Order: sequence, then C-alpha cells, then structure tokens
Amino acid sequence: MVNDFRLVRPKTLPEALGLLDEFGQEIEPVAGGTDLLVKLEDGRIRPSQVMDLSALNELKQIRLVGEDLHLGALVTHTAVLESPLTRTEAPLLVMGCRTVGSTQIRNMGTLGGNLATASPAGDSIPALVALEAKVVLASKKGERTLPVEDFLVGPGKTERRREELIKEIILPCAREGEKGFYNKLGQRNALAISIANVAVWVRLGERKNTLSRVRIAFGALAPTVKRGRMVEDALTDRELDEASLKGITQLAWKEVAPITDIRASAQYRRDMAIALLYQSLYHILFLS
Amino acid sequence: MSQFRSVNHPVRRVDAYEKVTGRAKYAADLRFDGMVWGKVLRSRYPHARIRSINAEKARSLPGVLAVLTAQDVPGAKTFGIVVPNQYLLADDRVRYLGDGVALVAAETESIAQAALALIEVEYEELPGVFDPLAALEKGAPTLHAEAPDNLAVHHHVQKGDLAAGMAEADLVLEREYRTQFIEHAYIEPEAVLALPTHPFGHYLTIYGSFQNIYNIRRSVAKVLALPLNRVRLVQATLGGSFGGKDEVMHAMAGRAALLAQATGRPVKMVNSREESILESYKRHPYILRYQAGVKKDGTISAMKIEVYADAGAYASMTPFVTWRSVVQATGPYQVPHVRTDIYGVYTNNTYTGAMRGFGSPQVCFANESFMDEIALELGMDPIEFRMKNALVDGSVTATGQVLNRHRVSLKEVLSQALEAVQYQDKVREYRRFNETNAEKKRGIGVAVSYRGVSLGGEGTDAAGAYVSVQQDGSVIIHSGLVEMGQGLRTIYTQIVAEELGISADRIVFLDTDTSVNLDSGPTVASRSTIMGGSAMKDAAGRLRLTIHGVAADKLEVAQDDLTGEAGIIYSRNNPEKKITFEEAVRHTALRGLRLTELGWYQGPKVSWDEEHGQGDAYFTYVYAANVAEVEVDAETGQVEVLRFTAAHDVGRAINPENVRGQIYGGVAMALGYGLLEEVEMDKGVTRNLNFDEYFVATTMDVPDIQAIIVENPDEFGPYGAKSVGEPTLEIGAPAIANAIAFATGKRLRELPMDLERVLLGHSLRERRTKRGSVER
Ligand SMILES: Cc1cc2nc3c(=O)[nH]c(=O)nc-3n(C[C@H](O)[C@H](O)[C@H](O)COP(=O)(O)OP(=O)(O)OC[C@H]3O[C@@H](n4cnc5c(N)ncnc54)[C@H](O)[C@@H]3O)c2cc1C
Repeated sequence: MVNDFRLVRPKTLPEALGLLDEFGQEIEPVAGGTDLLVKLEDGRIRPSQVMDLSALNELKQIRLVGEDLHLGALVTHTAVLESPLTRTEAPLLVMGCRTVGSTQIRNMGTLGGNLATASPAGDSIPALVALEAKVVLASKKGERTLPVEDFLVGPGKTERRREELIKEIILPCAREGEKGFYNKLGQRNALAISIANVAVWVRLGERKNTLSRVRIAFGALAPTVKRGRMVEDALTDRELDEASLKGITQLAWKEVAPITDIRASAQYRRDMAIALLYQSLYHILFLS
Repeated sequence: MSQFRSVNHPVRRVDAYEKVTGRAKYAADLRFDGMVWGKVLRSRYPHARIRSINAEKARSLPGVLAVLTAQDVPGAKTFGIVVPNQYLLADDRVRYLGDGVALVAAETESIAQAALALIEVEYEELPGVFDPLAALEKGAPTLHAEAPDNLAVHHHVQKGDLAAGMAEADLVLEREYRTQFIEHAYIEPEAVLALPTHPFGHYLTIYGSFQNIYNIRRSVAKVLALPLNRVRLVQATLGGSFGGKDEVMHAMAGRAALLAQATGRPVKMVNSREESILESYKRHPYILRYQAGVKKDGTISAMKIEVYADAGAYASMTPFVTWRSVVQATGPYQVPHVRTDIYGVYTNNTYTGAMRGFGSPQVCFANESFMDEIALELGMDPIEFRMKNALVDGSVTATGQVLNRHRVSLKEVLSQALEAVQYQDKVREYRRFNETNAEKKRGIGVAVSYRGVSLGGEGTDAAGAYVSVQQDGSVIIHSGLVEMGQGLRTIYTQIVAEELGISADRIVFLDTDTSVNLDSGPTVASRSTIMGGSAMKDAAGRLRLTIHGVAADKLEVAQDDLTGEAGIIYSRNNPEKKITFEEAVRHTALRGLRLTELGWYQGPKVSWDEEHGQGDAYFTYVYAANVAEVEVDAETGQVEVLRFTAAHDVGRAINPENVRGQIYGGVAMALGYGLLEEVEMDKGVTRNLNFDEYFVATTMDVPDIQAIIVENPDEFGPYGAKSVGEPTLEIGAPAIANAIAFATGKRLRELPMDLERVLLGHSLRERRTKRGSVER
C-alpha cells in the first residue's frame, strides 16, 4: 500500500534542482509515473517526498541542434512516435518506443523515466545505445554529459546521483545510407516486457551487401542493455549473404549473459539473441 | 424478414450506457456511514498445522475493532455446495496458500493491513502434495479425513465392450495431453459490503460481486447459523465472473458478515489483484490419457480415456466439472465401445472449480488434438475423418443417449465453417507457402464439439421470473439468475418485449436480491437464456393473455385474432380495430385483474446412472466448429493467429449481436488458454500474482474473428434458443494446436503453447521437467 508522502511540484528546472539539492536523499522524482507508481504501490520504495516533474515544460521539447537531436527527459513515448522530427531523424528510436506497453503507457511514460529505471528490458534503451546517444544530467552545481551506455550500471542502477535530474538525451540525426531495425520478442503483441530484444544500426558500405559501420545493442539479455562489439566487428566491411550472416550472428551467443525468469529460460534467451539479430540484419540487408 | 419484433434482433444492450460511462456501481464503489474495513490473514504455507494464534497485539492496535478466528464462527465451520469441506477460517490446518487464518476489522484499510502483520501464528509445516498422480500414491500426504486416498471424486462412462472394440481395430493409438491452471481474470477483483443485522427486519444484508447468489447465501446462512430468510444478498454490478465468483465469494461474504456482526458496523472487503489470484479458484489442470482403436477405413471402434484432474485443496465444483468431462470426453463422435474414467484428486495447490467451459476445454483440447493425430496416422484428411465419425440425427452418445429430440447439426456447423474459410484452398495455399518459406510457417486447424446444455444430470434444473406491468404500461422485471456481462438483462428484456408487443425501452430490470427474486439456481452452464428465458416467456405470456383478454372485450374481436406490436394491440383480420398497450393495461387494472406474474420453467427430464456410467445426460446439445489459421515464426516460436472462424448452432439467436459478442470473447479467452495463460504453481506457491506475468490475450493478439450463427430451433428453448456462452471457448485451443502442427509438423500436447514450447517442444523453465511431448 502507498505510504504517505509530501508531493512537490516545481515550476522550473532550477527550482527542481534546488529541491533535489536540499532533499536529494529522501525525494523521488516522478515523470509519467508508470514505473514509480508500481513501486510505490507494492512498497518497494517509501519516499517521504515525491517531486512531480510534469510542470517542467522545458524538458518536453524535441529540438534539432546542428547535426544532433535533443530530446527532453519528459518527452513521452507517444511524442516520439508522433513528432515529425523523430520520425525523420531518429527512426530507430521510434521503432523502440512503439513497442512500449500500450497506448496508455506510451502516453504517460517518458524517455527519462525509461532510462532512469534502467531495466535491462527497457524498450527505448537499445536504440539509444545503438545510436551512441548521450544523456545530459543536471544538478544545482551544473551539467555533465555521458554516453547512455556508460550511464547504465546494472538492473535499476545508473550513474545518476540523487541530486541530479536527467535533463535530456542527445543523439546524432539519421543520415543518408544509414539504417536501423528494432526487433522485440515478447510473450504477446502489447503490454509485454521484452523477453529479448535487439537494436541494430548500420551504415551501408559502398559495395553491395556490405556494411561499413555496425552497432548492435541487446536488451533483456544481460544485466544492462549491452553492445555486441564482437559481432559488430565481424560484420563490418565484408560481403554478407544469408549463409555468412547465419554464421556470424552465432557470435551473439557469446555477447549475452541472460537469466532464467518467469518469462523465459536463459538458454532460450541466448538462442533468441541469435535469431533476433539474424532477422534484423536480414531485414536491413535484403528486405528494405 | 424475421417473424419476430424484438427477439432475434440486435437490440442494444440495456446496461451498456451505464457501464461505458462509468456510472454503474460495482461492489467496491459502495460506501455506508460508519463503514469499516475487513482484511484476511492468509496462510504462510501450502500445508501446515496451526499450533497457535495470538492476536493480542493486533487487537490492541488503535483503530482495530475485531480480530476473529475459526473459534468465532458461530455456525458450521465449513461450507461447500457438493462436499462441504472448505473452511471459512482455517481450524487447525491450512491446506493451501490462500486459506484464511484470521480476520481483522479496522477503521481504515491501512490499519487493517497493519493489524494483519501483528497477528502471530505458529505453524508446524506439513509435507505437501502438489501433483495429482503423486497424491494418489500410497503414503502420500493427505488433506481430508473423509478422503484418505486424496480422491475427491471418480466418475466413469461405460459403453459396449472395450476389449472387443479394440480387437476390431487396425490401429490403436495412445497419447497423453496436459492442461494448465487458468485464472478467470475478471477485470473486477472480488468485493463485498456487509451490513449488520437490520434492527427491525432481523436480517443482514450483503452487497457484493456475486455470481451464484443463492448458493452463496446458503453458505453464509450456514456459517452464521441463521435461517435463509435472515440473510439477504444483493448483487452489485458484476465486473466479470466466468464461473469465478462463487466459492471465493462464499468465503468473502461469510467473513464480512461475521465481522459486521462482531462490530455492529458495515464492513467492506475488497481484494487486491494479488489477493484475488492467490485465493480464488482456478480452472483445473488435467492429465489426459487417450487411447483409440480405429479401422483402416477411418471408423473409430473404441476409445479408452483416463483423466486426472487436480482439484487442489477443496472439492468446490470438482465433482460436477469432472462429470461434464466424463460425459463429453469422446467428443461429438459415434464410438461403439467406450470406457472413460476421471479422477478428481486433492492436492495442496490452489483449489479448482467452475470456469467458463466447466470441464470441457480440457477434454476438447485432448480429444480434438487426438482426432488430428489419428487422421495423420491413418493418412486421412482430418475433416474426412471427423465427418466419417460425426454424430448425426439419431446417433447414440458415449453415455447411451439417443439424440432424437433436436437437430444434430455437427456436420452443418463444420461445413459452414469450412466453406467460410475456403478450407481446401487454404490448405493448398499454406502448403505452398511453407515450401518456399524457411522462417515463417503457416497452418490451418479445425476442431469441433458438442456440448450438453444447462445442468444436465448435475441436479435440479428450474428457474423463475418476475414480470410486473405498471398501470401506465411500463414494465418491471427481475430474475434470480444474474447479469454478469453475458447480456442476460438484455435477452430477458427482449423476450418480455416480444411477448407483450412493446418496445424494450419500456422495461426496467431490477437488481438481483435473494430476498425478493425467485431462487433459480446458479447462473452457470450457459443456462440463463434457455432456463430463465423460458420462465420470462412464461410470465410475460400469461400477462399477454390477461391484457389481450381485456382488449378483445373492448374491441369486440376474438382474443386469438389479436396481436401486439410496437405498443399497439390490433386485430389481424381488421387492423383498424386497435388499442394501445397502455389503454389495454389501464382497463385491465380497472377491472382488478392481476398485472404481475411469476414465471417458472422446469428443465425437461434427464437421467444419470452413476453405477453404470450411462444416461440421458442433458436434455439438448449444441454443436460448434472452429477453424484457426496461424503463422509460426520458426526461429522464435512466436505464434500469430491470422484469422479465426467460429460456427455455432445456438438454436435461435435471441440477440445476434450478443451472440457474436460471446463468440469474440470466447475466442479471445481460448487464444489465451492455447497460447499464453498459465498460473504457475511452484510447490503450492503461486508465482504470477498479477497481469504483468499472467498473460491474457490483448486486442493486439486477437485476430479477425468470423462468427457464424447457425439456427436450428430447439423444442425446449424460448423461441428455440439454446446456449452459446461456454461452447465459444472450448475448441479454440485444439484448433490452434492443430494449425501449429500443420505449420511446423510438431504436435504439442501441453498447454499453453508458449514461445519455448512451440520452438522446442518443451518448456525450458519448467520445474516438473517432463519431456517427450513432441513427436516429429
Ligand atoms: C503496464 C506497463 C507496461 C509497461 N511496458 C513497458 C514496455 O513494454 N517497455 C518498457 O520499456 N517499459 C514498459 N513499462 C515501464 C515504463 O512505462 C517505462 O519505463 C516508462 O518509460 C517510464 O517512464 P515514466 O515517465 O512513467 O517514469 P516514472 O515512473 O515517472 O519514473 C521512473 C523512475 O525514473 C525516475 N525519473 C523519471 N524521470 C526522471 C528524470 N527526468 N530524471 C531523473 N530521474 C527520473 C523516477 O524517479 C523513477 O525512479 C511498462 C509499465 C507498465 C506499468
């Protein structure tokens, strides 16, 4: 059952950061609340204060800044799906956000919340990792920027300090010759936490059926969303056909460290890392 | 054009507006002045002796009004409709994790919750038994003194000479199938609000999410040691039940009433989803061993079936559920020699009971999968094989019943379903598809069923109705059978409107109240249209006679020349001679004639000889055919149901839109049963207590469903109507299993057919590791 807490609702980012500076240890920020409310309800956390971020309009923007796209932490999954900017500049992220929960959850849930929750199964995260996105953390003392991959430490663990807020996420805009694919396996077609997923980003090579750059991120297959650098290297700058793709994607087996839980066994998940990766690359190379 | 005005038309649901606008009041929405909260302390172990309970600390918590244990139950300690062996509060033993040990009433819900943590219970853990086969072994831990072998029930069917039948066969095939625990997953968790004894009426009132309101009342009266007339139950709007709000509500209503009596205050109890899944009963998992003898030409000569049903900790509806299974286990086929045995077995798992289908989904899954397996073995088309053995008019069922009182429409429903999907074209199309695709495989599968309507040999089958015409021509009706989302109120309204020749919007339907309505037995077994509908027709028909009698007098025409339509009563021969319904009612009232009628309908005779396993089990049957089309991802095991076709003979569709609604909902539940759902019980401990881990199908998983309504009016139903509620979900799972086998060449004999099972043939995360359920 939910415990009693004080609810604060700062109007500006500096005000929010000030509150965090003062009460950081006992305050819990809430954006869409789709993760936090579940934890409050089952008593996993019992904060004495909850800070509602919903008035911080400056964190709801999606902006083009030079070659980069800046997404405020309060941008919802639905906003990612619907914004013309993300559709053209970050199609891979759109694919990820589309698979989150259901319409209601996507309407409420935010990118910042998804990242801060740091679930290994979080569906916006593989795209961010594959795109080498950066996260901007703000505190009263200033800002710091770090790669999303480094931000994630373990299941539910991040580099965020208690006095910091996620301010925004920065990712490079999509360019000609780049492609991406997000492949999620869940028990059903909506409201399903990933059993395994993979995001693949590539730059097509000059020669047919080659890739000059490849970035792969596996989700729900290790304690955090994880890059598959061995497979990436093996796929880069060589001619690929179905057979070689089948062979190389087997390497995924070594990149992941899944667990057995109520949704699937570790062995099945390992097999799925390979299958999902193969399907994604097949799609990129031969179907699109 | 239909011969009817109201019946057989897609009249809008009478309760739709309140529900979709959020105005309907469910039990958890109710509040009374001075209301307090009740909570249950449940067991810590699936099987344990209770050494002592110390409630001192809980009692002294400020805001706590009462802490009660089994000692405080004034009447019988146990309840149960068939075998009364379920404890309102655990006496000296707990038999499953959901058993209630103590009750708390407190000023607020959070104080009640806090008080639970202060109750000290000393347990002595006992060895438990969690598998029905293990429970039948000698020396297994036992649950109930009256069942030293853990056997809750054994039924059998015996027809012909099994050995001779098997000897005639060219092929004898044997297969084992397994099904899982299923949660009803009603959207509304259980809730009640009990008022203490009314100071003048000397009765107590309980509002709640009740399905079988009279059975619940019986249990409450028993545990409180009160006569039935002092216990009044009122049904609040029900947020789904599917057979589920029965015994769990006996316990909840009894407990809330006990707390209300102890505190003298209104007591509200509302289960969280976790509490609901933990405590409430499930659909039985079955282990089914099927053996059949078949001749080369495809005729079945004999079937031997052995089934073990996990009853969990209490009898609940197991004796009846398994009885329907034993009657229908051979499926809708002519089998000359049959021996079927079914055993309901106690274990320390969550108890199992009624759930939509009531013993049919399990046997249908086994039997209809088995039919495809036999056909494959014979090298015969599965449709041809079914047609060859199908029940037809005049056939004799496994229980020796001659089917000569209704149209045996099995072949008709199957043909209609096949035609609608262009079955043979699809078979060729999917074969071609599979030859050229390695990653995706497509398949089509069929399953059929017959189903006994209403209670059959289970027991007394009768229902009543109340119809009262007011002096202004408006009408009030109510019934002892309850609305639970299935559309009963709409159906009854249509029937009364049809009989009286008025429009449905002049009729108001009252809430169900045990002290006012006629005890009509349980709202189960897809019986409310055929039983309660007939009673409504009886009452409204008699009112029509009275009112038309007066009208005939006024109009000076013969009464049988009159007909009613849209609120006008007129002469068929001379439509100029007419009178409004209101006017006719006014004159009827002026003459002092009765404008209220109680209707009654008693089910036709059925018979059951338990000793010989034979009988006319049900007075009529319905027939159904389902076709599933699937695409399987050969690399992940994901199954997408592409299209689903369901043909059902319902006798007569009182409301075709409602029939389609039942079909859509039934198919969605069947899809969950086949592919997704399982309450995972780990040595008596439920592992998935909420919908993040118990997967029901979402709208995104349910395909386009083509619903085909077949009408062969039945002599026993109102306007020929039979039933549709349960048949809609009993054959979806085997149709999907057969489609998957077509697609992948792998036969899955265990539910649910989730990702790992489809891909690998078995589940890697299974605890009761059991392989070999796959054959190439
Ligand atoms: C039914 C259901 C289905 C779901 N399905 C999916 C799914 O399929 N895929 C998936 O990935 N997720 C899913 N989720 C999880 C959740 O919806 C997402 O993780 C969502 O993105 C969380 O965002 P939020 O804004 O709601 O976070 P909140 O609940 O508001 O916050 C989550 C955590 O992040 C912190 N936080 C939020 N914003 C900030 C910030 N700007 N700076 C610092 N900390 C912050 C909060 O303090 C809290 O600890 C589901 C949740 C539910 C309830």
